[in-house]
Amino acid sequence: MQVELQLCPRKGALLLGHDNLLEVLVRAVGPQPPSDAPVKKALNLTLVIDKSGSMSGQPLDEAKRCAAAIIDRLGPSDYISVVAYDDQVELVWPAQTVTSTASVKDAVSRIREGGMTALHDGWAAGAEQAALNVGKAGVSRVLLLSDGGANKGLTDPAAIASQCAQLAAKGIGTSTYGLGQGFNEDLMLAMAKSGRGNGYYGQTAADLMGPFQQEFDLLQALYATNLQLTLSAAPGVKLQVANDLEHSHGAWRLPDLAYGAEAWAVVRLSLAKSVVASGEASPLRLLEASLSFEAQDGAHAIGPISLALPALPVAAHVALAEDETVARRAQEVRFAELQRDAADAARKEDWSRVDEVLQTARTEAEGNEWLSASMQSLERYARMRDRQQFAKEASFKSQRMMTRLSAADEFMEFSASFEATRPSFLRRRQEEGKSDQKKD
Amino acid sequence: MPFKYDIRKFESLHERLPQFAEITGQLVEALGLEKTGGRGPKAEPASDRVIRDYVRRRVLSPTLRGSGSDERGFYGFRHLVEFLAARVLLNDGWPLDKIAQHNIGAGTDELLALIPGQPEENEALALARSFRRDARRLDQRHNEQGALFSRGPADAPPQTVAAAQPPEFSDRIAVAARRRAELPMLMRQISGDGSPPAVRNGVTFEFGDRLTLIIDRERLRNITVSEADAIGRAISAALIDYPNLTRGKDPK
Repeated sequence: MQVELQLCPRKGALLLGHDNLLEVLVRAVGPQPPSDAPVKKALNLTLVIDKSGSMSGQPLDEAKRCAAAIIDRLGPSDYISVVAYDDQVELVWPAQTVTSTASVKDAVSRIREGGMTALHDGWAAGAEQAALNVGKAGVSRVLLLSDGGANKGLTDPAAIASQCAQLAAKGIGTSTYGLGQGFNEDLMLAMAKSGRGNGYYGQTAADLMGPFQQEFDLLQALYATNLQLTLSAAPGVKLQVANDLEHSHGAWRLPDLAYGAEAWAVVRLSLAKSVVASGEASPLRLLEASLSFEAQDGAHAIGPISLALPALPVAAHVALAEDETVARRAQEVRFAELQRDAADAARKEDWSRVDEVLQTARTEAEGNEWLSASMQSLERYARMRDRQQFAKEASFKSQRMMTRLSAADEFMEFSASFEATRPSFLRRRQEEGKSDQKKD
Repeated sequence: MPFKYDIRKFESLHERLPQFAEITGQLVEALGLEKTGGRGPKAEPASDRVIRDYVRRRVLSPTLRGSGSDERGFYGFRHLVEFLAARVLLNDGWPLDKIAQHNIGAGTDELLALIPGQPEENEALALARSFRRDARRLDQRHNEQGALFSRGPADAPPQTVAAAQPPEFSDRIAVAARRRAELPMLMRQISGDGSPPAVRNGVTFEFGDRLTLIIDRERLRNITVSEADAIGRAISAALIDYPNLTRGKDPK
């Protein structure tokens, strides 16, 4: 059982004697789930729940309901701990294996709302609990829920994100759940990105269950983690990785890979016409890629594999068909870049810039049903001049499109009802902050 | 480091003074925390009187109250950790008032980290705890700054020595204290008893690059001609008989 690494060019040839810009899809395709044994690795989860005053009432009730749903799905070999925080940290359930889900849920049900939001203290206490069993489980992760920003203790987003990165390097990821309109999406997304986890948000407490389930489904189906992609362009070829991926020590980090899924990145190669002056006779070497990752049976390395393409005259080049999947992923990434720009403009209340970017995005989305469907909510929030909601939806959607896993057999067409049949972590959603069941 | 003295198994400790003193005394012995040398005077063994004195000096937290009309105190895990950490620091030459100051401000995990023979933290745990420790210090600094600001600089209290030192300094001296406290236990592993390693002052003779000879300074001071001659002949014999001395194993 292995990961398959592929380099797929948007077109199967270069244009002879011209400057070329070629998009290449790098795909790391996970194996199908084994049929003879259940795909189950021990989980080591810490739920960190914001119980500050603003969470009182339905939000805290819903957070507890989500926690209970997660706890219900844990098995006796999994580890769970629960931390609640306001301006103080409360260790609701210390880290241990799940011997009685009822006891853990009972402890969670007793969480009561309090005062301010010492988000970092809560996260760090959760990290400590997860660290107690980091070597004993297949996956260790802190799941942090908050409806506010960090306003007590360490509050600097860059410093907190840096700690998430350090902890991730020691084997404990961080995924974040923002609730409502008041949370700091920059902080929550930065923590998730640096913490090698996922960032989610819900407009209302009722929208939180989906993301919690999604994370849980993903963790249970994980095949490989710590995917490091190394790319090397041939002389005269410039490369740029279009997805917003962590880049360090010469490698790009792809998202953790689940069974039956594909992690991917779009690479833009540019070549001056002098480099493509020949190549009809023999293909030009363009790119080499290698991948390393960790699976349950140890560390693996694939490659290098290389991409070489011939250069064809205009007529022959035009006649070549594009690879639809590559074109669609490249379109997604451009759309994600536009959403990021629009979110920045919205935070500055520069609505004319937002409208301008959305116009471009609308054009970009043409022919892509998922992107077109995603435009609807963005345009609605822009019309309402709802800065908070627009910035959150655009930021999270952008991040999701840049780092999502896709189904190996994903269709061009988009249908919410069909997406619902897929594993939750592979679904393309119309709106990130709303449950798919209650679209307005 | 073996885990057999992991004192976390006493986490649910809730005892009266005599039982607490007995347990504490046993652990001091098991952990090799009875002072055998080094700086400062030898600490008294754990006893009811010493423990009461430590509570009075705030080396130990106030006792836990009993329920109902029972006003006698109980001792718990925190007290145990405070006592053992205090013993490490006391053996290292710290005065009791400074230990009290240290113990009051330290988390239980920080105190545990001082005590030899405990399970080592994994890297992630050490990192997460350092995040929490740094955050507590940040809060303390904010609180102190807030308090000073509200009082005004004129009536600000003089800083104690410990408070004036940066936290990194406190960490280093605490780590050094733990390292020194581990010595008896480690010697027990190496040599079978907890005696400290023998320290000798030697004199080194270098005969070009052929021979280096180290002789105890005291013996050298009183060496006779015949002893020196015997040493020389012993070296000659050993060099000539080298293959037999190494039992045929030629060291690489």
